Amino acid sequence: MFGSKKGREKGWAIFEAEALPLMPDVFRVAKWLARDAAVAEDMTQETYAQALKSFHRYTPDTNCKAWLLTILYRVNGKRRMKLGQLKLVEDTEEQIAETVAFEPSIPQHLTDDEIINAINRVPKKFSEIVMLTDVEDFAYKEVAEMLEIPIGTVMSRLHRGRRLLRQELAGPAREYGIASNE
Amino acid sequence: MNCREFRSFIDSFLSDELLVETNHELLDHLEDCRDCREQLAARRALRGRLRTAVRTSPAMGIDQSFAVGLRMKLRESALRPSFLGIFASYRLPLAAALAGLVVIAAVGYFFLDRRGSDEPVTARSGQVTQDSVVRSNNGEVVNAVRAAWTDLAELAVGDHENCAVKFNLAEPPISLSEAADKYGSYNRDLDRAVTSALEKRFPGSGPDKVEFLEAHFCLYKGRRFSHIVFRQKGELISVLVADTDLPFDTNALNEDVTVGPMHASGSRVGTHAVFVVSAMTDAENDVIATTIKPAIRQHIESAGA
Repeated sequence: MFGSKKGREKGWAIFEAEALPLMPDVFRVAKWLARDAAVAEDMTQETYAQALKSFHRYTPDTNCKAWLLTILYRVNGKRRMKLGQLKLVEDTEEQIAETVAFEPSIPQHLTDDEIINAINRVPKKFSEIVMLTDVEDFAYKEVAEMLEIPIGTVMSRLHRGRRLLRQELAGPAREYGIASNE
Repeated sequence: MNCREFRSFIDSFLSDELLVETNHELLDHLEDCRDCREQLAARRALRGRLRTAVRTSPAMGIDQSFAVGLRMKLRESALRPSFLGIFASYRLPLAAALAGLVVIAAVGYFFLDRRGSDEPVTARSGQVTQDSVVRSNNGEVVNAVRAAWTDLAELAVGDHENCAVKFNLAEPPISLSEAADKYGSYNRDLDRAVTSALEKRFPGSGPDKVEFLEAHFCLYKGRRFSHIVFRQKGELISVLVADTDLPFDTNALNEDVTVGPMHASGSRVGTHAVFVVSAMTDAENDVIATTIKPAIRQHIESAGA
């Protein structure tokens, strides 16, 4: 993989320093995509195996996290293809635009579980963008490259995703009697 | 700029994706518009809460035994010579004869390596037990386990430096009581067990008096630690406890690790790794480590962890 013994040790040292510390981040996104810990572990393992094999294509000190997640998304794509989950779906963006009739206020007293449950209820096409930008700190351009979609699509899905999240959170707050429509 | 225009930019402003000039226009609007300031603050707070909630959620955290097992497997794979690697290093006029020798060597290596890999050392199961380490008699596995232990010790040092010394962690720590509910009951009153042991060993009136500073549960580079901070002879000392599936105490694993000016004395207590990290000498660290280890063992056992 890395050639001579010295080359292997040197290559491993760089891989260990740059790629391995990101394993919790890769797993977190894999878990988000798969919703199952065992599947997420398999995806993480496959991602790292592929990353090690193709590490010669990675330029050290560049964005290793984006590189690893690009591999993860490819692994996920193959997994979904095997499960027969890759199919054309209706574009729900127009439908969602009609149903979001108001801008809900953001409640104050919410638990972490309520926030996570709320983002889980947002359709994946939108929540995925929110996760990659707000939780994983990727720029629009990086998300666009990772998901192979235009930057404009990233922006519009992010806008909708954040809005839907606020709407989902307004639900629990109304139950507490502390939210009002703006 | 009016409020409608501002709201159309707010998402990109939050994501820091706007041009400098546009940012200035938004900031100008914010100076005069309380509603938009409040809206921006609320959205920024929600963004932060989402980030913290997902990143600290136990359901989204990687299982450490899986992570260690995968690391070991990757290391083995990376350092094992490939057939092409061996062949490429023998580019001499007698390459054909040497290639034949290399084929024989590679087959022999593969055969020997397969015998050593009958033990259940896999990334998937993550079950690297003492028995498998001893029975496999596989030097590479033992070295990989030692490397994993060193990695864990280095994370402990990193946590000491970034948390106790610089207060520079990406995620804010939580109390040990909260950690007891989320991450293991042994966290409850762990600081009292450690403090009590140290106060007996270093009485309050002596020159080696130990001063308790704080205790919490923190996250450093994906690793969770119960963290208790003391001061002795003017030096900050961290006692860090983490879950681990690395094999039981062996002499090979109770090694001191040095990272820059910091020393870490590590040992295994049940399914936990305990590190004492400071800029004091190894010998001074070891005195503290041997003092607190029995107290931590008793505390963890009585907590049922």
